[in-house]
Amino acid sequence: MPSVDLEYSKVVPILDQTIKNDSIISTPYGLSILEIQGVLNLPSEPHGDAEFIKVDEIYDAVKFGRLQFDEKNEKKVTLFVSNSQRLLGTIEDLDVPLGVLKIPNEESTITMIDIIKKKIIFKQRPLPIM
Amino acid sequence: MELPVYQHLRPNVTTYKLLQLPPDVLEAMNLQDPIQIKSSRNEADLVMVSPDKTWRLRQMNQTNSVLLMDETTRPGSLIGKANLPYQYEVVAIDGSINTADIPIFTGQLPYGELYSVEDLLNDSAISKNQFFKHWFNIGGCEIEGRACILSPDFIKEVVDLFLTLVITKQIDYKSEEFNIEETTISSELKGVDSRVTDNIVTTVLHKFCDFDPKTSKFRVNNEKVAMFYGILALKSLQKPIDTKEFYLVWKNYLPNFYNIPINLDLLKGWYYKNSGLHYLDGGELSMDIGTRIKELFACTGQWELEDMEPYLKMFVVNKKVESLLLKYAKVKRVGSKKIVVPR
Repeated sequence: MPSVDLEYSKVVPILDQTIKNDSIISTPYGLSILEIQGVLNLPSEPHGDAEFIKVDEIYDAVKFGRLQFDEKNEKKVTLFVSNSQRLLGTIEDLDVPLGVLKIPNEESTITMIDIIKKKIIFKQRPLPIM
Repeated sequence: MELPVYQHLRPNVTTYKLLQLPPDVLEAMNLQDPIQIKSSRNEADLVMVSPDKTWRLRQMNQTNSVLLMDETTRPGSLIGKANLPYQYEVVAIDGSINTADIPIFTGQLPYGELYSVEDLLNDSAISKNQFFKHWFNIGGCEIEGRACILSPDFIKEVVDLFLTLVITKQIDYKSEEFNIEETTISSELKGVDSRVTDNIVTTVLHKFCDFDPKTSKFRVNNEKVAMFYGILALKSLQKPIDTKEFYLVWKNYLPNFYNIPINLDLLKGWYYKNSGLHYLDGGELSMDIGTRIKELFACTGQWELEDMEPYLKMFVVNKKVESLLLKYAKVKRVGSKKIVVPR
């Protein structure tokens, strides 16, 4: 039976529940999960009016919106998609924390690079911006 | 506060996956136990193991878009690195050993390919500690570098010799103390029977004794011994006999001067009553619950609930067998006993 080692030494320091984290949404390593109902339609190549950036000088990424945090209630967020839609969402604690695994193509070790305990979730249908 | 949100156009070269981390997995990580992920030939079957725990990984697909966002590549913005269409649900399981192709040792080794216990461990969806516990229980042993299972008759011969040796050496087999040393037993038994090896003694001791890791010593577990001999005695029955008579047969199976209390309760899950006791191996019944219950009623038209329970308990989790039976049979109370009859 083929087997691979799960390397998780990187996340051992953040297993400690009491570690302070300044960021509302991400882990100490800067990762977070954003969940939207439905599918995000993205172009395959940069073109048109959308705003594109290069990540690490290799990957193309497209700006699909902006995330606004409610100043009064830190659990509430709004996602503005392009200029016409907005989604109301919340920051929820996960019932079971999620380990983020990085699966290499050929090496024999899988690395757990982070542990995520919260997610930003948009459960409702988009609303128009007025 | 406002953050611009981006998403990679094409998936990253690296693949990311999400793995649920229930408390027992976090506990193993806190102890910094080595963890491995094993995949069997059957692709759907992924398991994760620590030295002493086994978890099944089940792929849970989700229809929502779940984006893995990174805040560090471009501070002040969130960049979606990947879309994660599923996460792995993690559930603790007992694990299993696939013994289908493992030869049976009856005193002689059948011809076959070299396949060691380590090979078997690597091929089994189970953690190392759970493997050995289960392996010894089923009489597993390595002989001439090959994994095999000792036949019940051969085990009986070795246990007979072992208990006789314990009695002649005046080791108190009823003592709570761990008073048996493996090396002594091994060298003596090898002298008596040339087929016995160190590994065979290890298997027999782990199967029939309790082990104390502190002193590396054993003590006889008389219940396990009684149960083993009781099952053999039941199996040997040519015709149904009543319980009192059976106790005599059972006693006769035990080695001379080895006197331990025996009780039919130890053999639950191995017999049924129909004008006397009959042997019934649950391993030979169907794993489909409806069929299995029909097979059980084919043996006898009325079961005592407590005799029937062991044959069905693998179908219930956190529930009583009685409530499972409601769908298939009737449970009546007769005096202090509960009787199960077909519908």
